[in-house]
Amino acid sequence: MGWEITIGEDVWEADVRDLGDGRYAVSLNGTEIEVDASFPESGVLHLMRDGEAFELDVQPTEAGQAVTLYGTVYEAGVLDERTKALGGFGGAAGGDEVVSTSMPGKVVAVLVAEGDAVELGQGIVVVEAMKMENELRAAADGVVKTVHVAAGEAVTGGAPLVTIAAPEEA
Amino acid sequence: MTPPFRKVLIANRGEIAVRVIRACRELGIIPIAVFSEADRDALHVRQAFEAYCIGPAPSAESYLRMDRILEVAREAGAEAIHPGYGFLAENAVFAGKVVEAGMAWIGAPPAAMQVMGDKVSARQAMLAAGVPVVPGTTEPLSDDDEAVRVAAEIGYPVMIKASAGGGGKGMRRVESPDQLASALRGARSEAGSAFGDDRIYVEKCIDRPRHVEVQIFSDGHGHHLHLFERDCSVQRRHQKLVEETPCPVLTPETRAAMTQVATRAAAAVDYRGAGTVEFLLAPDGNFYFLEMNTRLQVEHPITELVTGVDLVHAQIAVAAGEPAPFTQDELSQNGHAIEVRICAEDPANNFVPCPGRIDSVRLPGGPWVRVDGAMFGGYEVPIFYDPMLAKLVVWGRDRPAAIQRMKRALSELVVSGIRTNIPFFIQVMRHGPFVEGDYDTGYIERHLGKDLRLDDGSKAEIAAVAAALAAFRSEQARARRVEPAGGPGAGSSWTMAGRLKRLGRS
Repeated sequence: MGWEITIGEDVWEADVRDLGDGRYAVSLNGTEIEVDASFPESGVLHLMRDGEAFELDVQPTEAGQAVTLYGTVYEAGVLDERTKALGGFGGAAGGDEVVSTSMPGKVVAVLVAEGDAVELGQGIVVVEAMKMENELRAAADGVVKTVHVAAGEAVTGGAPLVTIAAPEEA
Repeated sequence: MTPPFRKVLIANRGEIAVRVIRACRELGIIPIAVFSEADRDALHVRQAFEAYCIGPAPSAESYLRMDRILEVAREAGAEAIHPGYGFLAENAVFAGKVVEAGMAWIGAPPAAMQVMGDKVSARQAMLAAGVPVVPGTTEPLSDDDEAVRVAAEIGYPVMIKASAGGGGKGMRRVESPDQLASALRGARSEAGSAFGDDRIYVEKCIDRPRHVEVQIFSDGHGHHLHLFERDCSVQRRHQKLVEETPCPVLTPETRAAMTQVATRAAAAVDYRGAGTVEFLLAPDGNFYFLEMNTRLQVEHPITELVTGVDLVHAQIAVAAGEPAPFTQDELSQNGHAIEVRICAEDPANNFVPCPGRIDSVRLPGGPWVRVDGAMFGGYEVPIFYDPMLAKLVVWGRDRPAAIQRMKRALSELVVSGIRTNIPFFIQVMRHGPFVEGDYDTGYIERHLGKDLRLDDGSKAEIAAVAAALAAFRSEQARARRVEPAGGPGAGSSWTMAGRLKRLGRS
């Protein structure tokens, strides 16, 4: 049993062996890291690696696990070998990126048009919610496949605003 | 000690409502909360002794409904209303209605709010009181000749601004007289199309200013006191993010002058209660009146930590007609305090608000750490209000100690389930220019994404290890459900499963 773990642009082939007594060997791209792991309270994972200690919050998400360390949230995509063989989850690496907003709001401006090439970090849509205008940006390079909304439109949380295809697909 | 009031209604929500409820309970006052339908489970409702729903989630239908709030206050027998900040806090009409209804208003006098609530009247009142304001025209310019004359008088560079202004539209910076004509033309047309009003005025351009404000406190018995300054220059889009006191660059002479001017401003409008006079501090040490906030400020805790004064206690006392519970001579600035505003927003994605359900919260502890917040595990951050979840405030013997303590407290604070700006603040506390005190209101814009970056990814590998262990855990849990004891794959996985049981979700 193994997994493919994606955080941002990093991808690891991961495997875990239980060494007993609270110790585990975690292999990441062939390098084995030995840790002492415990779950002292709900949602908390405490790790020790060569005496260096880390306390992380681990919460399951649709695509894997959200891991919080020192205030930073790492959205880890986790694919097991079976799922990977079937082509992975819809929104996972290599597929389309759907730009959406987590909350209901109003579209102030759409900054791209279908067919536009966009870069990582480029502004895609401006949405007003919680009394603030927010620019939603591209999470990766790509080409705008579909623009689902127009300026002035009210949108619900999670609704797709713009779909961006990975460059090689377009 | 007899409490000054038997019951106080808090016309607010979130952390400030909790802050005021705490003060009421300490004073033996019965706190009454009001809440919108979205806030049934909010902390201020849970901590109050009485609570009443005042309407649907949108503020205009609940927290801004003067009639509903007054009705609840009367029926519940409140003797006073504390408005917190925001919502109705600086609404002179509401303050007037509260007093008319025979209750005490724990806020500024309506007349002072009116004068200070309008840019033009505030500026005129301050000029009359001898408070320095940014040199320029108060009235819109009549023609280009006047602009040429005024600009020459106040000296270049100057700023052309739209009278109807806001959001930088219709704004032009002019370096020299030869650029003036085209800047006036551009600003007028931009203002006209943006606001339907092409009136403009001219102001001296203050380069790289700091935002330094003075906490004042007046008791209605002729005492206009100050509780020193706060530096709130670390801002993003005019939203304050980090505040500290003392201001790291203020000289004793400038501090003396600024605090004296601030109390003069308070006296000029017959102020009563807690208020804040905001100034722009120029690099040359000159300072200019910006505006007066006629309410308790979000960042008041840092002032409380260095002075030892509880400002909400003091507000309640003077609203009951008592003199200020301290004299100017009794006040001093002891040590250093810093506050950061923890918000439900994603610093890695242009600070977009991230409401949602908080899975769990772990608050920092230890010496000289204060959290004024309204969040808890299971709390659903509503989309209708400000995304601020809590203020993390620390005190230290001196500035370096306070910065170290803030870093430590930030690393203990965990808010899981939603994204917050905690990692951003950790970076600010480590950032050279901030640590040196070398910043102004352009700090975030100048450094963010350049030498001030979020996590460099060095911890991504540990996060991957955690994700792998979590995946392993759920796999084991599934195997255990499918193949009871003795089946293949059981064996050594029981150790892990045993540990995982404590998670309560396997």
